[in-house]
Amino acid sequence: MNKFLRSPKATIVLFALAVILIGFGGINAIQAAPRIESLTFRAQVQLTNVNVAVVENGSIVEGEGELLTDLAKSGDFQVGKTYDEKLSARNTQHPSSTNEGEGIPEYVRVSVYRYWTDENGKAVDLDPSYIKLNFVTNTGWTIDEEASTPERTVLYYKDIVPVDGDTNLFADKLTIDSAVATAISNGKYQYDNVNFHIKVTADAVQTHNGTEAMTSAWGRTNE
Amino acid sequence: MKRKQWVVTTLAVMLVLGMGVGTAWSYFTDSTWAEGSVPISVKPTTTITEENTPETKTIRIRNTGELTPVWVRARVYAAAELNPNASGNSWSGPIDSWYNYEEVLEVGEETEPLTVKFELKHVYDETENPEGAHDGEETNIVVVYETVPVTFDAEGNPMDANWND
Repeated sequence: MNKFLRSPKATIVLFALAVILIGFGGINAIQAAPRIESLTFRAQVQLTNVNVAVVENGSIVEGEGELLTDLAKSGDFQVGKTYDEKLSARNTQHPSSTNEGEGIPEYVRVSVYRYWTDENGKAVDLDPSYIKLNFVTNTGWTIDEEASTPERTVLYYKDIVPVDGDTNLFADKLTIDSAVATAISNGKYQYDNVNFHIKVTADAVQTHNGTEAMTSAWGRTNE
Repeated sequence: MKRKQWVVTTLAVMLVLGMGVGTAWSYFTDSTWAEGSVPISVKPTTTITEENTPETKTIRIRNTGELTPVWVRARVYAAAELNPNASGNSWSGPIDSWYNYEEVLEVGEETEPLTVKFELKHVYDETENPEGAHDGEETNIVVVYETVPVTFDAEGNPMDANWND
């Protein structure tokens, strides 16, 4: 018997048996397919998401040239005068979502950039501190002093922002310092024919495993 | 056979090391931004017009800038014998020889006229005072003016002019 199993004949016999078994199985499967059809089950999986928007004076704004539009259009911006500039963030529903209330609560941070430009582009010699945006920090917002510079201010919101909920204001007033009107260098007005810019970026992360999420996305938490 | 053992051993080691690797997580995040700008212009741009008569010189100053309201002041230079004296609605002075326009001059606006009157106090005989004014001579009356941008307080009220004297 052992001699038979080790011989080439055994290999041929086993191969033939395997072919026969596969053939029968295939035939049965072919015969079975027309007779049996399972019920159709349909499942849809949609992942929830976080979404955040910048809100200026109650309206969502996004993209280049969309902030400060009222001040730019007025044409009579006055140096030294204080204007309302209420800024906050909103947890918004995803634009493509068709179901109300989709989305998840989130943690939010914002980065506010202030700078000047002239005819040659960004004017690095001009002082961004003359663009005085009043940051409100007693309403849940905290300034990250380590990450902030004269041009950039980073703020973290301590509270969870629910879906369709707004944060408290992180800024409420805007003034251009009167000093720009008397800043003269080499007989030339330094702040003549320039633009001041404000740019706000808002970031959001999920609240589930929030500490890990913030550390992963932002490199730190909102503590 | 030896090579086969090496392959199997390597695969086993890799499997063990792979089991020691930490789990990778991903989190839901989102980001958005908005930006805007506003132009400002602080350099005053003005023009002056003048009208002359034998006894007077009248000037008006117009703010020809696009964004910046200004404060205006003016000063008269003339020979002392002419005793120049300037006046006009909304003009005050002289203070330190300057006449100040009391109103903010908005873009496109013109000041009230400032009229300089002069009367010759004395005509010298040429032998009496070679340096003084003599009959038939001409002399100049010069009016210069300065402007500075108007700045505002938090409520939008104009602040006093800073002439940097």
